[in-house]
Amino acid sequence: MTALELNAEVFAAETFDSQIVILNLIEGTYYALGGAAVEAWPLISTGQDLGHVIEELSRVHRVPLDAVEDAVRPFSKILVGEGILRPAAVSAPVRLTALLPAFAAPTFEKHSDMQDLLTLDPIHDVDPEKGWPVV
Amino acid sequence: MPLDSGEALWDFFEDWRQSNGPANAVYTARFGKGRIDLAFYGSHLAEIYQRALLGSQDEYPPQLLDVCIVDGAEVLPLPKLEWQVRDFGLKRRVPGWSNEDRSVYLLRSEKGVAVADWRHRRAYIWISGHGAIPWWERAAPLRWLFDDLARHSKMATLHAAVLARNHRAVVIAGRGGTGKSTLALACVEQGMDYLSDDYCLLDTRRGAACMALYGTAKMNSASADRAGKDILFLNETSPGALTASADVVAILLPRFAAELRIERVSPGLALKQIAPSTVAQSEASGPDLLRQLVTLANAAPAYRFEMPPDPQVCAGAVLTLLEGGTVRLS
Repeated sequence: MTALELNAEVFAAETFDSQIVILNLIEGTYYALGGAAVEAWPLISTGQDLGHVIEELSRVHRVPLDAVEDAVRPFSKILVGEGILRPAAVSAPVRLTALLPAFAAPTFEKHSDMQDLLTLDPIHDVDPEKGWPVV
Repeated sequence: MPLDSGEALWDFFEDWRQSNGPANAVYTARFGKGRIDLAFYGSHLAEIYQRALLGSQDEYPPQLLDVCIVDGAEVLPLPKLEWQVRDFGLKRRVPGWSNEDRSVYLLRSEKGVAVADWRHRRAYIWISGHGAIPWWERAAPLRWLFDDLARHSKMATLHAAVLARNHRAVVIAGRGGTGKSTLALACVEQGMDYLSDDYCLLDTRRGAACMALYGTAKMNSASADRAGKDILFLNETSPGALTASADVVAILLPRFAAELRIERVSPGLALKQIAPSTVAQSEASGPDLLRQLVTLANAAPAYRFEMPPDPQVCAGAVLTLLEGGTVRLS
C-alpha cells in the first residue's frame, strides 16, 4: 500500500478556480493541479491508499482501471519528487466525489521564478563555531 | 552567560529592560487600526526606523505590540548565542528557537537578533550597530516582524502597490521589476491616494481591504549601492497624498508593452501573480496566508495591464478604473 500526505511544513494548498493551487511557503514556487487531480487531491494528500484512489476514480468515471493507473501513479511520483507529498500512514478508505463530468488525466504546472527575490535577502550563513551573532 | 534557547534570549532582554534606564526616543506607529509602541535604545535608531513608519491617527488605538530596539554597539553587548545550524530555516525566523507563542529571528544584514512574544505582545530587536541597517530596512522597517504581527492580528502583509481614490483601491501585483513603483508614483502625480508601492496590510475578514504600513516609495536611482533605488519619504514630501485604508475594487497585473492594453483575466491568474512574491518574502507563510490571498483574488476583477513607456498614460487608465469609468479593453 502506498499512502501520501501533504508536506505541510513547506507547502500550503487551496482549491481555487477549478484547480488545486499549491505554494512552496519558503520559496514561493507556485503549482497548479488540474484534471482528475482536483478530485483526487483530498484523498491523495490525506493518507488514502493510492490504489484505493485509483479504484475510486475508475468507479465514479467508469474508466478502465489501468487507464487511470497509467495517469495517476506517474502524477503522484511527480508530487513526491517536488516534495509536495511525502509518505504517510494509510488512513481508513473514504469515497471519492466526482467533480468533473468525465475522467481527465491530472495536469501539473510549476512556476518557479521567485528565486532571485532571495538574493536581496539571502539565506544566511551560520558559523557553527561562532554561534553568530557575536559582539 | 551564553544563551541557549529562545526562552533564555527572552529572559535576557526582559531582565535588561527592567534594570535599564529610559529609552533615547519613543514613537507610536500605526498598524492597521491599532498601534505599535517603539522604544529606541541608541542615539541614532529613531531617525532611521521611524522615518518610514506612519504615525497613529486615532486618539486611543489599541496597542498591538510593544517593541524595544537596541543598538548593541552603543548600549548592550549580547552574550554568545548557543544555537546550532539545525535551528535555522531558510528565512529570518529561527524555527529551532521559536514556537507558536514566541518567534526568534536572525537578522543577517543587521548582524542582529530579535525575539517576539505573542502572548505578552512585546518584541526585542538587537542590532550590532545603527550603521549595519541596510537600505531596504530603512524603506520598509521591521516588515519581517510585521508579517507575524499581521498573522497574529488575523491579517496579512501583501507584496503589492496599492493606489486609491475615495477609499476604492487598485492592487497592482507582480514581482519586482514590473514597474509597480514607477506606476504608483505616476498615480500620485495624477492625484490618486497612495497606500503602498511594495508592502501593505491586507484584511480579508470582510471582503478585501488594504491598509498602509509605510510612507515610503522607491524610484530608480543611479546609485549602484542601493540596488538602483532611492527612497522617497512621501510622508514628509506629500503627506496629503497618503491614505490609511481602502477597499479593493480591482487587481492589475502589469507588464511592459508598446501600447496600453487592459484585458480581463481570471482570478487564478491574479493569484498566480500575487501569491508567489508575497509568500516568498513573508515570515508568516502558511495556509492562512494562502487562504487570504485566495480571498483577495476572488474579491475583485483582475486585469492584465500592458503598460507603454509613458507612466502618465498608465496612471490615467488606473484613475479611470478607480473612478468607475470604462477603460477600453483589448
